[in-house]
Amino acid sequence: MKKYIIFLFALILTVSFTSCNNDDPSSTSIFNATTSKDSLDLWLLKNYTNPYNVSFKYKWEDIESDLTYNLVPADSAKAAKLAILVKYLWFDAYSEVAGEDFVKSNVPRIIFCVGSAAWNSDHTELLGTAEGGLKITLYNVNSLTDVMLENYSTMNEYYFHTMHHEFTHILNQKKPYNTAFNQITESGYVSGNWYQYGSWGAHQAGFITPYAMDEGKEDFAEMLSTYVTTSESDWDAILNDAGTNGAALITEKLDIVRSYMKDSWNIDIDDVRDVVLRRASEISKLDLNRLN
Amino acid sequence: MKKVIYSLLLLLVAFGFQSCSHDENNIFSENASERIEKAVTVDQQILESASNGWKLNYYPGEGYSKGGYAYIVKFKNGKVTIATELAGSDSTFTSDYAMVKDQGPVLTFNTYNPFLHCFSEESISNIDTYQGDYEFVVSKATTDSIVMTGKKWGNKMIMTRMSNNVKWSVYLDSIKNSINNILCNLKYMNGNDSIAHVVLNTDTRMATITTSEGQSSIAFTPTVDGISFCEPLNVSNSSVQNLMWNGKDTFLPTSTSKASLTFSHSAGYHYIDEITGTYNLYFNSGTEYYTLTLKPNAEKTELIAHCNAFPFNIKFTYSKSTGSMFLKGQDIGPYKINDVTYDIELVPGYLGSNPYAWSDGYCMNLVPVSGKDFCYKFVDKEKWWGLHTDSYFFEACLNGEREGYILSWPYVTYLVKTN
Repeated sequence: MKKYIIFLFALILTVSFTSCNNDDPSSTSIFNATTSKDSLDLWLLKNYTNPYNVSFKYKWEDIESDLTYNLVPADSAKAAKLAILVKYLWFDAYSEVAGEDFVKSNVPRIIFCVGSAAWNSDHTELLGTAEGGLKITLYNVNSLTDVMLENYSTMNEYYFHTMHHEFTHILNQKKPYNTAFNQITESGYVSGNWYQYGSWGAHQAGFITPYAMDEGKEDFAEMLSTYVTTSESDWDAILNDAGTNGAALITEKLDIVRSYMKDSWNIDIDDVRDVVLRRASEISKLDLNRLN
Repeated sequence: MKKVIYSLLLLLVAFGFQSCSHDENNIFSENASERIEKAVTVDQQILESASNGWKLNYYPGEGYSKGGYAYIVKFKNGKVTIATELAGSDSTFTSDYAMVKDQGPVLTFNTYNPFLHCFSEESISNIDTYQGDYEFVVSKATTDSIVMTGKKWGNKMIMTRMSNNVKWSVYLDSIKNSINNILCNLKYMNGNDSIAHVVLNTDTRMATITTSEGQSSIAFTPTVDGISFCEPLNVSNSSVQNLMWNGKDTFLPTSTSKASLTFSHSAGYHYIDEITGTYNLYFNSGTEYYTLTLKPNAEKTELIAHCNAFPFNIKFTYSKSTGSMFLKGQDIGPYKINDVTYDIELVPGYLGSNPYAWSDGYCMNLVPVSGKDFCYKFVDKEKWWGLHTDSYFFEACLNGEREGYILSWPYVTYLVKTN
């Protein structure tokens, strides 16, 4: 008898819990899919989203931005030029060397453009960031003037070097590099004080750029991004500037970078450099004013 | 033990029934996400419905701290076209905008527009920027006005619909004209009582209010016929926000407020039109003079002086706040000597044992002589590192280098109106 009572209770309980279940979801979607697309939006869809599943965000979205800085949106015309250049010098370059699938699976899902530079309180300038292998932010898009387009070294410093640098972080986030790299110039890392050093001082201490003195992973990213965007003679000039000791340290670190890329990704960094430099020499032939 | 279980079960059953009482009445007929979606759509339709755009008094600076500027914005098919009194009256710049769901419906100017984003741009010397917002939470939108609040810096701004028959360039020209014509040194009048002193700075667009209790400041924007404060200006129980310039000396309220701002005369103050006329400029300690005719320029910011004795015009700068003028160093223009064309510069300087000239921009004080209208005395401005000024030189320059002076006014003394 008591058992029945318990069963009865259990039954009532079950019924009472289900009885409230009449909250069917509303059929109206809260996502408005009817945003208008202009020619740049369509070009990005065709060249970034469809082939690579990448969202090239040139329109401001504050949640994508770093709220600690005072930033402004990118100029749409300049973002369009940068979109063409990024694809040509980065996606297509790696695609040529390592195949389309490598690009598809390793490039960040979001490229976010910011119009202005991000200034730190120590008056250093943030040129780019890579977050969790998913997103790369490129700053200073509005500085992309016609004059700058003719000057490879400035373009390289602001954009190309930055995107290879951030891409290196993404590769490192997916497959870690040999930590023996960090030990080669372990005592030379100065973290936030890197900006106090000049190029010569950095070279002498065995670093390819002053920023490389920040920490090991930045050093690694600086090594690869500088190597693939610098011609052999310019690279030798840096080694020359570094003196015997500095050059030996840089070369020792480069060997680890080289074998990391070969072993982890099956990519020869010399091939990447050849392709990047060849494509860089061709950018004057690109029609940056037309989207096709 | 069993009793405990029974009572526990009973309790649970009671809870179960309790949960079914349908006493949650929805206040709104639609859920929150549907309502915000609708607000965004409706707001966008309203924005695009103004075929001649919206007038916007734009206030950068947290807490309205960096003045106000007149803008016109027009929304069409996801693009926004902006014009401002800060740029040429015929210039516009088009960029993108969007209405998005964020902190409520948010209007975002999401690609770069130099006319708007200039107040938000960081530089190495100005990391804090001018604190301009380009994303706004829209709190109210009607076909006449949009009330919105800057998302980052928090200033509330209102866009009002521009009537269809107003040409943008005409509107902007009249604003520029209005800011040139207003007088900046004012008394705050409540009826017939003067209760505060108000100084309008037309460069920073900030008004400084001085009362017996202290000083405060408030941002204002020039309008086609006067000025508008960012919020009602309160001075001891009297309040006013929008004012109309009467063309001569007073801002009158556009509402029923009893407040007005009247130009505060100081001794020797003259309007630029009164200063216009013929003057003698005495030099060499008053023994010699040139005769100059002074006429105001179109903007009424300068008096152009013409002298028959030499072939170029000189500009006296007129100060609206003091009602007097001064003679700054300035570029005069090209002048040919023996087939060589020189650039002539007027510079103040010192004619002592070791004559030298200052760079342009510097000047001597031109002080109204008390008791004598339109009589001004040249006064050595100050001993700056022990250096003085007592004369003006017309320096001839070739490729930016001073070759020597072709004419001088040594030891200038007085400028006196003769007609």
